[in-house]
Order: sequence, then structure tokens, then C-alpha cells
Amino acid sequence: MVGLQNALAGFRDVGNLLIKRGTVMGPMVPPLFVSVFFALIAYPFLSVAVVHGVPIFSAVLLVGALVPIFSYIRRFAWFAKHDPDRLQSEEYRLLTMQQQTIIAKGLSHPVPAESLRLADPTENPAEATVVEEEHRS
Amino acid sequence: MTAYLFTYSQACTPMQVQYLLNDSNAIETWVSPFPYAAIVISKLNINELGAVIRERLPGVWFMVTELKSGTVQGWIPGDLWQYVNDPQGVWTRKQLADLLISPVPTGTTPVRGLF
Repeated sequence: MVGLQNALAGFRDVGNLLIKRGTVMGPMVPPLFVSVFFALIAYPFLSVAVVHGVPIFSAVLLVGALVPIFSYIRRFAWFAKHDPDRLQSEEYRLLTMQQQTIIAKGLSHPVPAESLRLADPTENPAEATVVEEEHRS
Repeated sequence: MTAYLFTYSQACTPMQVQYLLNDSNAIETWVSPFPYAAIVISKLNINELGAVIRERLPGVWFMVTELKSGTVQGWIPGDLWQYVNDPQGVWTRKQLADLLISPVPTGTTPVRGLF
């Protein structure tokens, strides 16, 4: 009984590790467990329904196991190319949304302003000069 | 060399715009301290620049407005005001390049590769 509880806890931990909450990949993770299940049950049927040396039943199960894996990779690749931010967790995206970030020519992604040696924020110094000149005249 | 404020709708992603700004010969340099907006420096006049962007981002709503020194106010790091007040100087001096390749305070990630 303790062994079963440990196994279930292990599955839960693996699930928490794999499912990045709030990312677009989250819903794609449970089908990966189906892949493992299909692959496992294909093994005992290797000697069943063998046609021309091919275990048809096991082969169908293995193909079914590959579908979620390919779907996962395809979806990941699409978002990696078109919208990589959505592959990040919700907490991370919220954190970066609240940060002052800067992107400029030559940079591949926005960087937090703290990582740059930028001067402190100010009003437009040219504006102050113009106002002073207007006062003088 | 003129500084422009380029703002665009979310019909296109920041990555698409980033690609356009880096790829186009019409834009000499740029910096984006705000989402869905960038300060761009170009040799083109406003109509030419608008036409280039329209061609590269078909169907996307955007505006380009010229930034003239003394007509813009706000609250941004002093280095970035140079883009507005001295676009020619920014282009000549490669503004921000030194900031990005110089050592950064402990606990932050150094950034390289600008310009």
C-alpha cells in the first residue's frame, strides 16, 4: 500500500514537472502519458496477430503512441518559431510584463532594463533647455 | 537622420516587427522601451518610411510620427532621450552599444551583441 502511494506521488511529481502551468504546452502533456501506456501494452501483444512477420496489433499501438509525441513536437516547434513567449510559464510572463524591458537593433529578445547600464529616468533634457531659453527671451 | 515614434497594433507580433526593423535598410537603428512601439531612426522622410512599413506589414494598423527635440516629454532613461534629441549622434556613436557590452552589476545577466 505504501509502495502504491509512493508510486502515485512520483507520478504526481513527474506531472507537475512536465506540465508547465499556464503554457500552451500544458494541455499537450497528458496525451504523452497515453503514449507511454500504448507503448507498454504493445509489448505483450508482440506475438499476437502477426502477419508476414509484423505484429499488427502492437504496430498499431506503437503508431498510436507516436501520434501524441509528434503532435507535441510540432506544436512546440510552431510556438518556438512564431510566439516563444507562450512557451513560458504564466508566472514568468506575468513577471516579465511587470518589468521594464528594452529591445534594440541587434538584440534577439527583450532584456530587463536592470541588466543595462542605463542612466536614471529623467524628463526630456532638451525640453528643459527650450523652456529655459524661452524664459530668457 | 530623423527620429520617429512607430506604434503598431497587435495584429502583428513584436517578433515580426523586430524582424522588419532589423532587416530593413530604411531603418538605421531603433530601440523599443515600450510594448508595441519603437523609436526608429531613419534617413527617409515620414511618407517614405510609412510606405516602407506598410509594404512590409500589409494590413497592420500603425502610426509613425516624427520626434523633434523640444516637442517630446516623458520619463525614460537619459540615454534613450538621445534617440529623440540627437538621432544623428546616436547613429554615429552607436548609442547603447557600450551599455550592453560593458560589465553589469552582480546578479544581472550581461548582454552582448547589439549593433
